Amino acid sequence: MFNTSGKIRVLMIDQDTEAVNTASLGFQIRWPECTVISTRKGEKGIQMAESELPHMIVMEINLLDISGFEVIKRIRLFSDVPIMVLSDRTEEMDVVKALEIGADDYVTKPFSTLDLLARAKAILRRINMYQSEGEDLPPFVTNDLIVDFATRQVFHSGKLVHLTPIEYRILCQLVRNAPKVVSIKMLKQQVWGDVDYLEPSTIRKSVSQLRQKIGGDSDNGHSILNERGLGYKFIGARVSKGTASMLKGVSED
Amino acid sequence: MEGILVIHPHEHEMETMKRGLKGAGFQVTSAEDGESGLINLETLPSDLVIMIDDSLSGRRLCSRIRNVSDTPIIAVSARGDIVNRVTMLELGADACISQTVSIGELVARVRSLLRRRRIRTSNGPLIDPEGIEIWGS
Repeated sequence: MFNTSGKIRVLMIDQDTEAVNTASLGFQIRWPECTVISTRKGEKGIQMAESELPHMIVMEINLLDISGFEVIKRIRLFSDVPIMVLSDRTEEMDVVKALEIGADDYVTKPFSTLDLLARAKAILRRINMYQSEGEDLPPFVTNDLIVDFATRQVFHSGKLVHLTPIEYRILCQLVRNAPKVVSIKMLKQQVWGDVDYLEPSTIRKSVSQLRQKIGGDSDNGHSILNERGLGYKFIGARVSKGTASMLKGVSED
Repeated sequence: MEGILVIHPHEHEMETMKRGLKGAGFQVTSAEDGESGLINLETLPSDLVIMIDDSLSGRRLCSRIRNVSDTPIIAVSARGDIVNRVTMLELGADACISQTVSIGELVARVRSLLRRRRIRTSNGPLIDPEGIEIWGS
């Protein structure tokens, strides 16, 4: 379902060559696999947003052909791509307008590359958090556990289980990769969104809480195993579609 | 109605912000310190957190919130320096803005983050900025 190229593609729409070069260099140093494509014109930028499917757009409001505000509005008609405005327009009303019509952040020029990259990372981290939830996957069903990705509901022995967002995301990562081990590093990135500081006990505690809630021991036919030094894996036989539909008649608490 | 939790050590300074957010149509709850803020988050999940403290304890609070919740966080800082802003972003804040920012801009940023939360896009490539292999299905 997901493409896994491991690369970022950034589209810059700006006639300011220096800004484009500085930002590009920053992106490529920070993320060596990053590709930066650019155009000086708004109309071309809209076309490239559609054809190149960038992971992020960094754009100026003052463009040669049309207003950057117009570009944001038109891109938003067909895409949810994160948009970071990088502009020498510094008036508050420009910031407010850009954010209200669909931009995700607004950086004024002259800019700090460090600042731009930190903000870009924050946006991508947020996107990653939401994307890794996989709503359009079929439900994951074992003998007494149902994980319904579409509704974000989890049932154990027919009863709705109340998981925190973190616990839910851990469970998603484990069941979607079952029976493979999910590394601590991967869990950290996908569940907590790659924050720089995560208390070492946090992952252990969250997994422990999750285990308690979904009755995770081998007597139930499923469990979360800690592969020491490696990570965690979910062990449990996924049932066939026929049995899955029989289990559909579950009750809420 | 979307709910915002404001964590601010000085109740009276919060009033302008709270009034502005309520005026923009949000339900606002408040907490005077990090501990009560965290308890508040666990018992009554908010759609967004605004935290006004960029001291060392403020940075620690940001991490702690991020460790237990995926709620968007706006950090408001009295310090204008980039190092502080970058630090807060790296610790998990979604935006870090100056304390001098207007209510208009604050509301715009809140709406932008909440809009992104509503979208919850499941299409498109899974991004791995660090270039590490992603295990997808």
